[in-house]
Amino acid sequence: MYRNTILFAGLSLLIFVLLGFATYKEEHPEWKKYQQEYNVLLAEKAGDPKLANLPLTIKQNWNNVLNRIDRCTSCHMGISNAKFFADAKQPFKSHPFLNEGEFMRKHPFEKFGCTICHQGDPQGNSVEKTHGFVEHVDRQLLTGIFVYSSCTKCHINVYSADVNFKEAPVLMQAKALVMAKGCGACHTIKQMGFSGILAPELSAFGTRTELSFHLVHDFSHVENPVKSIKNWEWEHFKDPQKVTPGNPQATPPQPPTIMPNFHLTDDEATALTVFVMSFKDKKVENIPLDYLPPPYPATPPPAQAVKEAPPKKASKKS
Amino acid sequence: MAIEIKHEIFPKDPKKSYGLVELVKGTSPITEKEPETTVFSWPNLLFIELIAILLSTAILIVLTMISGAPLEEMASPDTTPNPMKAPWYFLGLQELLVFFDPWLAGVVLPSFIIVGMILLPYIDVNPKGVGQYNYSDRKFAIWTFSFGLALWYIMIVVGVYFRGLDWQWYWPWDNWELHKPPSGVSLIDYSVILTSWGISKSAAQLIAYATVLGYFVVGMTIPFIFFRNFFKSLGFARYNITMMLFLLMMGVPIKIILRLVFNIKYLLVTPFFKI
Repeated sequence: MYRNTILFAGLSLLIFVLLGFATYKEEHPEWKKYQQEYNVLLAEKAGDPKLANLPLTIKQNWNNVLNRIDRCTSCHMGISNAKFFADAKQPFKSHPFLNEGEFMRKHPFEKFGCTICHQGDPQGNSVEKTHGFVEHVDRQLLTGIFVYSSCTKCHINVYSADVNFKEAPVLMQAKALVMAKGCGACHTIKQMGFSGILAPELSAFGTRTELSFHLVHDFSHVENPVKSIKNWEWEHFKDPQKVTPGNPQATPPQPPTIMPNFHLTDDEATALTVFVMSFKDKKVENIPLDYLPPPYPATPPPAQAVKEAPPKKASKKS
Repeated sequence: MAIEIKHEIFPKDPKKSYGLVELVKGTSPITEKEPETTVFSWPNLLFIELIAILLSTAILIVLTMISGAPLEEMASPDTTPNPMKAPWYFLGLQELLVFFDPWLAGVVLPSFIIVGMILLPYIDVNPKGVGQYNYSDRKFAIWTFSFGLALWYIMIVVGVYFRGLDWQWYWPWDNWELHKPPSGVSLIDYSVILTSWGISKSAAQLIAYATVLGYFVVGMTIPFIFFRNFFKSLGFARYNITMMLFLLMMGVPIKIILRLVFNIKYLLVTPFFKI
């Protein structure tokens, strides 16, 4: 009986402590730590000590038109503050291209939010839930050069040959590569006007969710431990035979891929990966009309080239 | 209108505040027990139960803190996950669907499980071992219940840990990313096997009926003949209900074994359900 009383008391205390610990954990999430740090930094840089005690709240950008709720700025507080945080450490570093004349000026955060370009999980608010490859997220976070694959959600005419989309050099590099290598001989890419039928269609490659890609692709030959679309595609560009060697045991037997190995450099493979991930399906992306920009101005052809062109006979072919 | 009491059968003692009112014939669940050999349930039993409640609460709180319950992808009509797994507590039923007609595995068997659980206190009227831990007097009850529970949880464990792509069997050390080749075994109905031995179709159907019926009939009569005491202690109605539930429960592993060992798809095909 005495032992039971001791047990009862001990367990009650244990539950009390556990509940206290759970409450503490809920009251001290990751983002609060970062926000506090940011406020101290801001007070330091702005010279106003009052700023260090700003209330800590979840910062949320609810974009009604795009139907997105972005909570990234709960930690990335300095994202639009290029004056103070241009070279601060992450997560306070301000967004690049914010200066006068650069393209982020035309994409204010209030209007666009973050995940419309960067994808990822908009509502997670811890490092582990939102950064790197997160299991069960349909569209993984895009960072660095890969964000350029989101430009084409709205800027649809960057694929035409006479457009030089200066803001995204990587797309232009890849476009030149695609023109040079002749991908259209086998692949159908509506954006580029290709209609090859020997290989899978790539017209909506960038819209595929992680899961739908996973169900129909063999990841067992991908060396990268992170099994994402990006890595599969990159390794496939580097060495198609390695990633898709076929499977004679399967029913029906799968032949090895017929895609030739182009011996691309790492940079070229990255550029091409960004490029194929930029092929979006308009119906799925569903960008509202008032977000669509005017067509990107085409670069006029050099005047000399027009003069040197031999006068053609009038023909109905054009 | 007050009833005039002529005489008291048990006259009340004027020195006492209570008296005997009536004697009735009947049984009580606790027989042959004296106050000297019993203890009060509070604090002896309930206190221990309270401690058990506290302990399980503490364990649950710790579990919720160390393991989250994340959601998967947003449901999408054009992408079905593979394997499409139910929550873990339904995976036993989902595993049953491999071996049974969906009407049986999804509706009939779960209903029988629930109904059987409800009937337990009315079926088990064995007065032995009340109020104490007792195994030797309740062997049948303990073994039957444990068997059913084990069956349920074995099914869940199989569904959670051993079923991968296309609901194929995957060992933990297999590569879960690779599709397994579809098994070369084709499952055949029992009646089809019989017809392949040269029995006519209608006769084969009859034999199939006879097999299923015979299983129940034999199952009902064996304890009746060899364990008379068991039958007598339960009484006719309780005996029938108990044995029916017991045979249904034993039928599940038997059917699974038939399916795995002899590749029999259905024992009996009727227009309404298939066993």
